[in-house]
Amino acid sequence: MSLKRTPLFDKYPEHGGKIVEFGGFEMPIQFETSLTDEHNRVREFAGLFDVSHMGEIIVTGKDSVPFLNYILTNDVSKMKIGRVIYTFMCNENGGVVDDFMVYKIAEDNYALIVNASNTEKDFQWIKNLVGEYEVNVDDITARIGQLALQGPKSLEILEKLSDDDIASIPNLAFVGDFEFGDNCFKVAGKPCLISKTGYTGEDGYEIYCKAEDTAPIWDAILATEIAGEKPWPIGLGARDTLRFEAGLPLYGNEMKDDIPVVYLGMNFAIKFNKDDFVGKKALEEAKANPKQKLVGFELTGKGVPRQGYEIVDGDEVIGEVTTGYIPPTIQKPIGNAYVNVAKAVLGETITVMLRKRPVEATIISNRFLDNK
Amino acid sequence: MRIPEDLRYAEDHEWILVDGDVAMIGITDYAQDQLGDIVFVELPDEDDSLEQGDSFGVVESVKAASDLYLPVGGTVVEVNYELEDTPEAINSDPYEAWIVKIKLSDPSELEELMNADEYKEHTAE
Repeated sequence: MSLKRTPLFDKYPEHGGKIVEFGGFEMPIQFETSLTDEHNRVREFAGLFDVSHMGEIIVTGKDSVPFLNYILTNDVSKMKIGRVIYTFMCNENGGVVDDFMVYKIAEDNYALIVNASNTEKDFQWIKNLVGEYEVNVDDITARIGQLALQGPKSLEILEKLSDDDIASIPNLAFVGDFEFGDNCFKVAGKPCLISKTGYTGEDGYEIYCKAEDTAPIWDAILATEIAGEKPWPIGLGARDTLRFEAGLPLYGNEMKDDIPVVYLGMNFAIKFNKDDFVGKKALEEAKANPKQKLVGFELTGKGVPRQGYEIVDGDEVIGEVTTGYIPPTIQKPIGNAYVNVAKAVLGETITVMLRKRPVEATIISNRFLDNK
Repeated sequence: MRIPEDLRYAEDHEWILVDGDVAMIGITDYAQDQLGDIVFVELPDEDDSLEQGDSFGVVESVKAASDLYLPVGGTVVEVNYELEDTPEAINSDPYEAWIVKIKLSDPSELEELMNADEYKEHTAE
């Protein structure tokens, strides 16, 4: 099966894009500068990500709310139109099928913005759960382009490209819909659904448009100057170091289908007071008797912690690193790891096997940016 | 890509500068460019006795760890400890930021190395 491409594939060479395979797509891991420079550009000015490979699954119909509340861990019933929430979608064991944002477009009209690598899996999973619920489930990914503009100058840049009141959009809220008609704001003259959301820890916006409008919006944003400086295109490499520093989890690293999601420590996205939902019982049990917990850590010795490295206590393996780096903003060897609960305590010392070399580390909060 | 004429080269992108029976070893401009920003270098111990093909350290970039393999065997006589504080020197000056100096156990192993032209062809492949 050949790899897919977003509407921006032909733009990558203009900026020196280095292409890798990701989630079944050919995507840029970085552009012409370096991962470090791209990461810093987002924190200090603004950067533009092509995230068109992500999936958009639409759930509509009179049973939308009870159906979504059954398949998701969070509660959509109290959402207002134009708001966004974060949720997990679990299996019966409380492990994660996917994690994503849910947008309430209208009454009984919700958009699930899913991980690129999981779009097809999620679509089948959701359809298989419909049963007697009166809902429609559509995968509209192919007709939608998505860009993320992130960094302190994001709003200023978009204001130069729009007459609409983008500044009025609060965090975790949006304006527009996927019909791209009169309900939408315009960016560079193109109708978009714009949300004040992002995955970097900086202020920023996610911009959804018609697939054929993605390239002109991309070009317009990259050409916009604020005091002589322009935003840069940013690849997937920096996307990972940015989200990691900001304490944001990644499916495949911090979330897997065989780890109860209560171990992640983001229980605000799990509403146990709802009626039954997929995984509820397993999650209640795991919450009452947890075996492991996700923690942040910082090495006290030298080296670089990486995904997959073991956490040991003597001869015993007591955990595993899920993500680790010496990242560009917080220039220290830090990581996230699942660790057996007895040792998963702030301030505790653990031992990380850096390949064959044991190095000590201290457990710290994984909101690394907040605690810099 | 810089490929100095006076150096010898190994297939996995180390450069070697020979002075008598001591070989100074680092990684090439091509290698540092492929790796990206280097954040950490794991160095061997002085007096380690190593064979051709043995790992003599690790170069870590933001994204990945890369083992370093000795193109020629011998005893580690000197290690560039400056790399512990400024690993990024390998990116900016790959031919000045040497990693180890090896006292050769078998100088005939040098004959297996490439010259600058051969290495240039190798990187073009």
